[in-house]
Amino acid sequence: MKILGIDSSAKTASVSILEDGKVLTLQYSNTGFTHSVTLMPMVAGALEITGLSADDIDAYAVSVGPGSFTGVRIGVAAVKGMAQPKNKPCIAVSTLEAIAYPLSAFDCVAVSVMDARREQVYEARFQCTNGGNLIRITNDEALPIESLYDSLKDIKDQIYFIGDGQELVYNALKDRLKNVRTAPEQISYQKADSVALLAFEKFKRGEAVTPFDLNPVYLRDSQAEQSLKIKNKNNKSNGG
Amino acid sequence: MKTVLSASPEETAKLACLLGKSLKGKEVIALFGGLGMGKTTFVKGLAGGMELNAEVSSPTFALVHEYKGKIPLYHFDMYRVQTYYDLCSTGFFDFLETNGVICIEWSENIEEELPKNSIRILFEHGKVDTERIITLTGDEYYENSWD
Repeated sequence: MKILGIDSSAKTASVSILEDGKVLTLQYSNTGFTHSVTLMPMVAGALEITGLSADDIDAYAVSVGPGSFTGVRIGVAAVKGMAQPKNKPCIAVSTLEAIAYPLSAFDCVAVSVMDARREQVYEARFQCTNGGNLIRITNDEALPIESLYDSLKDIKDQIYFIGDGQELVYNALKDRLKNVRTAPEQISYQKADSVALLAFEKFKRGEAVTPFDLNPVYLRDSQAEQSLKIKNKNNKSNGG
Repeated sequence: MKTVLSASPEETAKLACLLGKSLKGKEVIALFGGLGMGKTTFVKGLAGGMELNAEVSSPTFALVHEYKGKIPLYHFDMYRVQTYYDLCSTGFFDFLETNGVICIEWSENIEEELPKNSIRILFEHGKVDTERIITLTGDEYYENSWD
């Protein structure tokens, strides 16, 4: 079975093709925010390198968020577009789970963190055991960084922060939590091979959906509905 | 701060054109002022100054229009944006990471999240109907484009 996986949920974009759990190719670019320009050529490149055509792909996988709103939309829309003509199955993968995936080889608690601005992070926790198991402990959430201290203070295992928020969270908590580290930079960011590998497991568990049921996941934090107008300031323009 | 009197939409566009010529990329230009004050006219002039061959129109429904060029221009209209979540959903923070210029109509609605170094431009009514008092607040380099 062949899965084409996509990630464009943050600054980088990547495309991977997987055959029965083996990565055939990984295309990766980190050239600024131009996913709408780079993503489809990378898909074409991945197919060309593997000698496959779109017809050979059995299922499509994509990181559906949380993440950059524009990036997530591009990834999900691209997969919907490719999967719809032949109604191929689609697999939604949490961006935070894809980020944690490279840590699954170590015995640790993986804390996936993406910078959500305003002292907030998108966060999910996973227990990594027995060289390859990634067991979810918490749901994907948008949280104030400070609230993580209470959630993590009783954990005895080695904790790894991983993701584009790892330095932010590590610096906020390192003086109070002794068992925390950041993941090595080269594995810190989401990539399409992790998305496709997780999707393969999900597919076997029957978690694929139709292209029409594939949706982005935008998490809302507690400040999401806050107005951004500056209060008590006379707006001098007359309008109308 | 630099205040200039514009007697007509043409003069407003000319001022915008001068500012457009001075832009280097990554600037955020925040426009303030109500309906019919000349904000879209201003963006047209700005695009001209940036040598963008673009059909500029107010992105009230699309939220953002992209005009391609050597330095791209991202034209936002925040009229319908009320909350932080709304703003995130427009992709505004993603565009801040690019090398393009961002110009925002209805900046009033997102004032709290404007980057500190934004170039702020306020439109106010003058003495007669067609007259506008336009005030630019920002780095001296940009203010000097109106000398």
